[in-house]
Amino acid sequence: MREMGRRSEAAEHPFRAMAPDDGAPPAGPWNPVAKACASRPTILIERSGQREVVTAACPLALELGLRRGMAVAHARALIADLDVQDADREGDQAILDRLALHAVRHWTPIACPSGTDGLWLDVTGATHLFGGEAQFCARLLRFLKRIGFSATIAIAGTPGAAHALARYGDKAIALLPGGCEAQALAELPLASLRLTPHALQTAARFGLERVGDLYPMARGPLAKRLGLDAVQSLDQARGLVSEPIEPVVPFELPSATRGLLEPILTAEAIEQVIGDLVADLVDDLRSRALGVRALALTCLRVDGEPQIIALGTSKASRDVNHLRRMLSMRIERIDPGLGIETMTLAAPRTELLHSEAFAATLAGDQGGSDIAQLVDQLGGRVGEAGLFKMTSVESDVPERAVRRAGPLAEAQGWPAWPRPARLLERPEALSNVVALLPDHPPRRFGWRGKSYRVVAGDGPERVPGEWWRNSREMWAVRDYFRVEAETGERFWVFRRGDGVDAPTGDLSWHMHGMFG
Amino acid sequence: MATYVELQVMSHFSFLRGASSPEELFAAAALMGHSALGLADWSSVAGVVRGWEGQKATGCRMIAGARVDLADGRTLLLYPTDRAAWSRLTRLLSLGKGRGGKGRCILEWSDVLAWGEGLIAILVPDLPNAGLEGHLEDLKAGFGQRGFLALSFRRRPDEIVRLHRLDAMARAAGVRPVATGDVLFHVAERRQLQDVVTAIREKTTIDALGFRRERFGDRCLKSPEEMERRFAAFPDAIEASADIARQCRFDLGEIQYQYPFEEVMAGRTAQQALTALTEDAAARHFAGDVPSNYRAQIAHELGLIDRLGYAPYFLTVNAIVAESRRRGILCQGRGSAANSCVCFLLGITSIDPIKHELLFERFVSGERKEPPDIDVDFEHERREEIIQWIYETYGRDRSALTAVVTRYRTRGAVAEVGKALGAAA
Repeated sequence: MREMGRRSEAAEHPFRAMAPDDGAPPAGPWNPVAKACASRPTILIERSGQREVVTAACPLALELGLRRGMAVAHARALIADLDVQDADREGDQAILDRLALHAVRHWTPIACPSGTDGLWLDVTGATHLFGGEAQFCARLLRFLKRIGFSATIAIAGTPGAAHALARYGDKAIALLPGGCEAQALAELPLASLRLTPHALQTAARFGLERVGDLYPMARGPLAKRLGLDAVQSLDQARGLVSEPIEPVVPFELPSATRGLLEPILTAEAIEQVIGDLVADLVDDLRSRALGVRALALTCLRVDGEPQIIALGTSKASRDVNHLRRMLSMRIERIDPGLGIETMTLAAPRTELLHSEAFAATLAGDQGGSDIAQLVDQLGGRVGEAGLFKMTSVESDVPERAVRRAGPLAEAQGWPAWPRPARLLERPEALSNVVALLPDHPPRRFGWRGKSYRVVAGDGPERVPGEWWRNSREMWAVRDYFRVEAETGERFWVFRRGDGVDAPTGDLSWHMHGMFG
Repeated sequence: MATYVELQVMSHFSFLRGASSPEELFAAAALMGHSALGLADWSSVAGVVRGWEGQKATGCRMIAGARVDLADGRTLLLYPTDRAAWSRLTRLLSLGKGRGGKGRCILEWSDVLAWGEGLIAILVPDLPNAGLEGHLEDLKAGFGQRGFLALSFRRRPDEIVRLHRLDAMARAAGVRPVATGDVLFHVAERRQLQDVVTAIREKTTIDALGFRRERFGDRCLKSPEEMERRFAAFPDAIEASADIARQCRFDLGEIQYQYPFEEVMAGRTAQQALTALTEDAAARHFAGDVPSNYRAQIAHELGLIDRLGYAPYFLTVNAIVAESRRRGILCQGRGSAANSCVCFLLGITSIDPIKHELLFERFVSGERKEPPDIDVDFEHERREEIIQWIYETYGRDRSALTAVVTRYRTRGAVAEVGKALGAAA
């Protein structure tokens, strides 16, 4: 078999690093966790449907009889002084991904996370660099211990066998000579084969417990009962079928650098170099199907002082002209001092951007033009915060019914009900209001020193306070009226209170907006 | 005396829609001087029993009905005028729920027409538009004088204009408008609870609920005088509500148990059949010589059963037990039925109540105004056979596995409200 002879290794850490209490992921080298679970038995939990389940237990808790998959209520009942924390699957996965990247950079070119709790390393032809397989494993364990993980390591001829031995074997380091996969696996429980829970249940019904129980079975019926996947993973573990590892690829920041023969000082020269850098960067981006969301231009001066220009784009882009224009707009912010000798353009934030077909424009169909570039340019001039779009919020309280959104955000629709063209920022009190209770519009009122006689009115539109926001709005009610004054103006006025129950408001009248 | 009758009320039996119990609604209505209250829960009549209790406690008459939201988007309040119409209404709801499955009710306009005889239909409109015109024509064609259009104040902009347009459209179509309050709770203080149950229904938190909340204002019960003041421009709509109340004379008290006809009756009354069966069984049990204390007890029990009219019920249980014996399926009566000598002799229970000195009145008594329940356990493995036999014998649409109204207990309620308010679980 082609894959035989390749050496796969799976490392598992039965008890993963605890996230620190403040919730921030540990930066740089991972925090040692030994102290986190030294004093009290600790478990991690997760909700699954209606119940909470233990997803991991610290060595102390394991010793006290707590197990993975146990109901949390059960665990709490067993041990009074239990430290219960929420499992952070995403955080765990991120750490595992970083570990895989670390492996690719330091140990072997082919590595990837395996499931939620392990790593595959294809160490074929790599271990001799570390003094052999045993040495390598010991070194790996030391490294993991230093950064706060306990782990078990197995090296075998197939990924499936390594997976099973690392998780269900009894040694911290298991080295399996090539070709012995089938014997080594025979005594392990079926769960070691990465079967689906359904297949495991079915197998338990047939009384199949060990991997070895499956060897003598006819393949046809086996596939029918447990599913084709089960047969496949059995074959993969024994090395009858290949199982390639899809390695993680470390991501390199796209960047372009120009060292300059002569230090440059003029805007024209800088612009020239920017043009070259952008062209280089865009070539790189195009080959990797990426678009820029943020750019950083670093100009290193003769005196060693860096000048940095950073800018963002509102949409992923690798348009040479656009990026060049955006950078050129900011040239004046560069202080060349005695001259610039190196310029580096990097894209710290990128997004996938695939090539797009040009829309058919035969029929003169313009389509909606893309305003993203305009947004970037305006943003470059007035600042990002100065650009926004108004969108509605699902609230009946007028002050809360709109908010600012990003210039490219999808705006929500506007309410079907008539709203004034202009809303006062703060409602203004009305004076000398004459109105009938409980639900009639005012007959006359005074506002900003002028008195108005109302000739027509509509309402009330009853807006209850949003009691879940603050307690003052618990019972509050506003009754809004549209009124037309004798002089033709139309106003949006409201009264605090529904005119019947005192707690709903003090019956004071306010001006809140004007219709066009 | 006020004439207005409130006809659009949802109690908390409209699960996660209404926010007050029928008892609270009727107590509030009686205090405000309502003479009657129309209870129309969402796709259900589950609240009418509590409503009836409310009627008996307060004297405010309950008009039992239901609200149905049809598949094509129109909403109707249906009120039966008599007992036969009530049966048709419940049939209609069974049909919709059978189609919709749990928590849903799927009905078409044609279904409402098919079961609509004797029902008063009140169309609940949204906006006066062309769609409504068609619905009004349907209503006029299908229900004639029994079709109405609901007018209610939503406390939204242009409300008066909307109501006048609706009124005009209804009159043009020959449909009489009727004023309603669209009530969801009995006092204004329940508004918050209503928001919370809506959030639970929408499976979200109160903050994220947005426009899925009930957006029309003023959903509490108002006094008849207040409603008449509001609808001063529509005096006929107020009058119409009283007319509907007058036509709906159906009272829950008219409903009686309808026992199935059993084959053993064969020309005899149920009581005669039960007496004969019991005497045969007694003769067999004691080999012809029935002791006098047994004879007296049997006579006493049969007398009470006769007086309360429960004989057909005993026959039905007997038929089911006899069938399961015939098939060799184990079955065993349990609970208070063991206090009955009749049940013992018929083989429904296997404890001799006289030997163990059990009191028959704990099973059936003249004081308790409801039939006794006879619990029978069947062999778990073969229970399905008996269920199928019951379906075949009595008809699939006349037998039911227990029907349960969903409700919260304290623990669940606290958990759900906590979730709706955004508290961590």
